[in-house]
Amino acid sequence: MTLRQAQGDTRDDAPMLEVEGVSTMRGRVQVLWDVSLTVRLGETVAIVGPNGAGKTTLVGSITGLLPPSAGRIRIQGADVTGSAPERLAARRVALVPERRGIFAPLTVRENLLMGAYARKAPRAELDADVAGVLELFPALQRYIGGIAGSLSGGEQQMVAIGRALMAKPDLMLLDEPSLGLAPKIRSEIFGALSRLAQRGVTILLVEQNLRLAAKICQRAYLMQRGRIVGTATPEELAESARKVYLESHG
Amino acid sequence: MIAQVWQYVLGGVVDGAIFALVAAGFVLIYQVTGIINFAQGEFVMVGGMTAASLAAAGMPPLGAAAVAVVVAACVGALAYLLAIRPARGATGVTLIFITLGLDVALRGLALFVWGTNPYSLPPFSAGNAVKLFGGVLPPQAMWVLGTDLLVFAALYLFFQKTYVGTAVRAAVANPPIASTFGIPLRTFAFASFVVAAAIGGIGGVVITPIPGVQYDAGLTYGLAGFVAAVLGGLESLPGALLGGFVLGIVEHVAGGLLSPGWEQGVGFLILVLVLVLRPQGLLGRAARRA
Ligand SMILES: Nc1ncnc2c1ncn2[C@@H]1O[C@H](COP(=O)(O)OP(=O)(O)O)[C@@H](O)[C@H]1O
Ligand SMILES: [Mg+2]
Repeated sequence: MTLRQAQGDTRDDAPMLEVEGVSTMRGRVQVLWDVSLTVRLGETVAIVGPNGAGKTTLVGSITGLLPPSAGRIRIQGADVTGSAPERLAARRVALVPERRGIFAPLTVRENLLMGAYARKAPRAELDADVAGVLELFPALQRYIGGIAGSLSGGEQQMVAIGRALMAKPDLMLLDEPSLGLAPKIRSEIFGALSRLAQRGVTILLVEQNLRLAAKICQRAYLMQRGRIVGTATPEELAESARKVYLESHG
Repeated sequence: MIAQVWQYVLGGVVDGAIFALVAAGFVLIYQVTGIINFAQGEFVMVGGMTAASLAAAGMPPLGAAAVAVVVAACVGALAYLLAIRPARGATGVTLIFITLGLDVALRGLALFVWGTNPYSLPPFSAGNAVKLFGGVLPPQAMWVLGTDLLVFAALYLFFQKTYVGTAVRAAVANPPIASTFGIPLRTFAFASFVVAAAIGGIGGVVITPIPGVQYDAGLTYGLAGFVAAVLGGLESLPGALLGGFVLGIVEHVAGGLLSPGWEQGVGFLILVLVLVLRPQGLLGRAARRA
């Protein structure tokens, strides 16, 4: 067997992220109920569901911001349940948070550099990676020294994605990256995401826009009232997106 | 009359430099942890008392000064580890009581170690008084102002030009998201206490040759530093610097023209006026974070 085959054999099915029977509280309210899902290496998986379904809570449970009260979370086989967010960063899990969560008073360049904090890489390497992000999002070039908080929503979303990329993530979690953005910016951002997916970055994408999710994911989980209630193929997502569109326009 | 007021101003500048250092400590800890550390003035006292007692025991002044700053930093580290860290998750009011308790405890400890006697420290350099437009400053005042310049320049360079300093600003801007990128919030909280204490200790060391020091000196410095920090908006190091000098000058001029007893009264008056009229501080914008 060649090396390539050996890698291929283990890679194809190796789970990047395993969520197993996770329940999570917010204050005294249980928000997640026995949630299980798997994302394999190199996959792009979407989580779709209405507002308040618990998607952000699920993402928080994975990053360590909202530790679950029951269940297991594994990253590349290692149990990380209840680990602090810093530990998840060290495992190359990077978050593009809901509503972007950029460091508003810092410059765009500083925001990007902070994404690489856990890597402890030399400055020259980081500068090269910043250049890479600017290649992916040329629109950021002219604001690179500007205060990130003064950028438009779309530009801030690019900063948030670029910041996560600076972590050289094995797993990227994106929480509604299309939220509140103009259609043109959305497609620009989803174009960049699909290029990342092609490069082999594993992506877990939370998205309410089914059409956009269908464009880049290989499969999707449907979430409702804190539970996974089903799965869907991109074709099924696109189909229901069209139905919703027809219903609201016909 | 003008000459007299000018002399008060010069005295105020010297005190104001120390107020600014204490205010910087308030701002550092408040920004990083959200805690207003009312024990901040005690670090000045610990620095001054340690340096003065070591010098009295025969240590050369600069050596005593260095040890005193390290001792103050250690007191800050212990204060965090023993009093603040165990109470994480506590509400703001509880934390205020904890730092007030810390203040009382440190003063009590100083009373136990050093007694009630005032201590003095020889000036760092000999020489004549410095004349400035008809006013005079003691030679030690140059050490005080030079130290202020160095400390604030170092803070500026750290926060604006270094990677870790930038990470602290990121942690202040958005703590949970910063933590998801591996930025260590707790380490920064600990460091903010150590650095604030060291800065207070430095202030205590350089000012002590002028007024001397005793176990309860921290009260005045803490209060003045707090007023100066509030004047500066509590979230800004340049604000702390400005607030320190403004307060020092106003207190000295008022104390000189009225009577020395008025100094602290004026400080309180300023505190109330700022809180009512301009809670964002002299430099602050009306709205805080976005
Ligand atoms: N800070 C909070 N405290 C208590 N409940 C919350 C909090 N944030 C969200 N929730 C509740 O948790 C549920 C799931 O929220 P969330 O995970 O944000 O959903 P989604 O991201 O799918 O819109 C909602 O019912 C919401 O009301
Ligand atoms: Mg959400």
